[in-house]
Amino acid sequence: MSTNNIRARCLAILGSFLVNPGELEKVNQGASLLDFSSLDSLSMVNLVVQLEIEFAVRLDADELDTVLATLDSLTDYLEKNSGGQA
Amino acid sequence: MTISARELVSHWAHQEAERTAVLLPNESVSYASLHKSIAERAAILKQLGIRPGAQVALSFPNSIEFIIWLFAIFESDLVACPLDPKLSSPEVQQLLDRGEIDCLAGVAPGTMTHWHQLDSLPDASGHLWCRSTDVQTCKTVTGAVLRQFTSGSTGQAKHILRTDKQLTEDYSHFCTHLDLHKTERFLGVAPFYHAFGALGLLASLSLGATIIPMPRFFPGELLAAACLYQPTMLLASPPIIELLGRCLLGENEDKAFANLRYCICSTGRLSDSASNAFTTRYHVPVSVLYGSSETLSATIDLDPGFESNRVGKPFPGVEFRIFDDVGGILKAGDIGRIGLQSPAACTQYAQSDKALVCIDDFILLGDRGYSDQSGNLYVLGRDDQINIGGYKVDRTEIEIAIRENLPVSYVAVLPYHRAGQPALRAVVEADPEEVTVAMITRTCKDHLANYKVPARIEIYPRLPRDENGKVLVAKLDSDEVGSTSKEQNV
Repeated sequence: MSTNNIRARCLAILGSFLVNPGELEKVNQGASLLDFSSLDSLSMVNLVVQLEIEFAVRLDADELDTVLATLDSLTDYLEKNSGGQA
Repeated sequence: MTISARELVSHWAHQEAERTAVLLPNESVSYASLHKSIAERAAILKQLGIRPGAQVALSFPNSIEFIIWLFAIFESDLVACPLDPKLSSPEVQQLLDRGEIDCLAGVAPGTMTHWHQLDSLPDASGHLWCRSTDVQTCKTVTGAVLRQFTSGSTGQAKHILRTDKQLTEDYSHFCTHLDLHKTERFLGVAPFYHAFGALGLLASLSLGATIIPMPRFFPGELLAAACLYQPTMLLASPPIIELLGRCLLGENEDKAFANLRYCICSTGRLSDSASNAFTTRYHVPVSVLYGSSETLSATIDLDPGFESNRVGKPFPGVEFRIFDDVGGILKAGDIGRIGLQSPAACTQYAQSDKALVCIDDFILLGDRGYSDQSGNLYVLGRDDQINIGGYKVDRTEIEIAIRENLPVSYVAVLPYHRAGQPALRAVVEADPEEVTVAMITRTCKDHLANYKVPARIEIYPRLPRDENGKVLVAKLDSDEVGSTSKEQNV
């Protein structure tokens, strides 16, 4: 599955969590996923679960600060760990 | 034999020193070892000269550090005030100021830079901070061992000063009613700072059982811990149950809860779908526990077959009644205001400007429901009526109509003013692609009288929630709800 496809699917999922105007645009431009008020702790867990289901990849909770640093880091992680199944 | 809350760890340290109290990823901590750590911490507190009755806030995730600090505070005759460790510094400051709490145990207190570090503990233990350099000036309270805070989901958090006797009653009736034993293994994911998580922690320690503290909740981590430790008890909030029912499962993780005797859910409404998904996946029924910060645990549903409004029968020593609007007692089947009476209940709030609402020693928590002939209690929603154009409107009735007919995860009907007149506003959490304003309006018109149809309907994909998944109703009036909503003046 291509990087662009993974990125698009991530953005679709993030869109249901980043509910304030402009947040999704900022993520697409490289902002950290950890910096938004829309993502409280429970939303973060929900987001992780949605991503895991979508890509059939278990995200390591200890690495979330790195994985969710940006959309690029998330996309890279999913591409490397999905084993082509994504 | 009932052991008082303050003596739980010391009791088992003397009775069966090598029993495992706490299981950590790389360590098994015995009651003796745990008590030794507690005694050392208590010695530090005493050495610092903090007077008996002084309050010490605790800001830790579920961890052995939380347990050590909690019981060190107990052993030093101080009052523990557990806080949500995720609160912001301003939120912490507000709670500490309102409670006149002058000490804080935790990590660095953020922007509370005027607080003074008192100790020289290793970093992993957190530190003790004081409002003043002179601990003798710390305000004290009498007769309490714990200060708890209500969720504040419907407004500002209320403070409750809890006695040892009330705590003891809570975990004692819980353990007795469920016939729990010292061989239990509690998976401690419900936050210890909250009454429900504290119940699990204290119940485990009261039995001489074992607790596995989970400092955070991610389904993958919880399932890994469950596979490793094979817990017999899981106390979890509705969002945890819901997420465990639909998360990605690794190999053999469907057997993670094979040894569970009880999966107990509390702190909010659990949907049929969430309960069914969990039970289908793990073959364990979910038992709903109903209570509050004011009453602690009150009822538990152990009947087979999940019903989303049923919260079961009272624990031993607890009673409930259903009251009408003028304080009369209603019979089974009649809907009214739920009142609870329990030896674990508080008798007042700590703040003098807040009063418990009671009828005949039964505390009214603001919930509406009914009982059945078997003695089960059913909770329908909040007991709030709004006067709309001369009509008394029961908000619960409208919320039920929407919730039971549309795929919504949450609905609150709130008052607002339209052109100076009271009107109804429905705030709904749902997928806007699946639920529209028109659908909600149609549903209300099909099931309710016209004057009960909300004039304004807002649909949000996500509403602000606390750590336990409870919607922060107090924030539904503010911009914090988020702006991607659909509104319509009907």
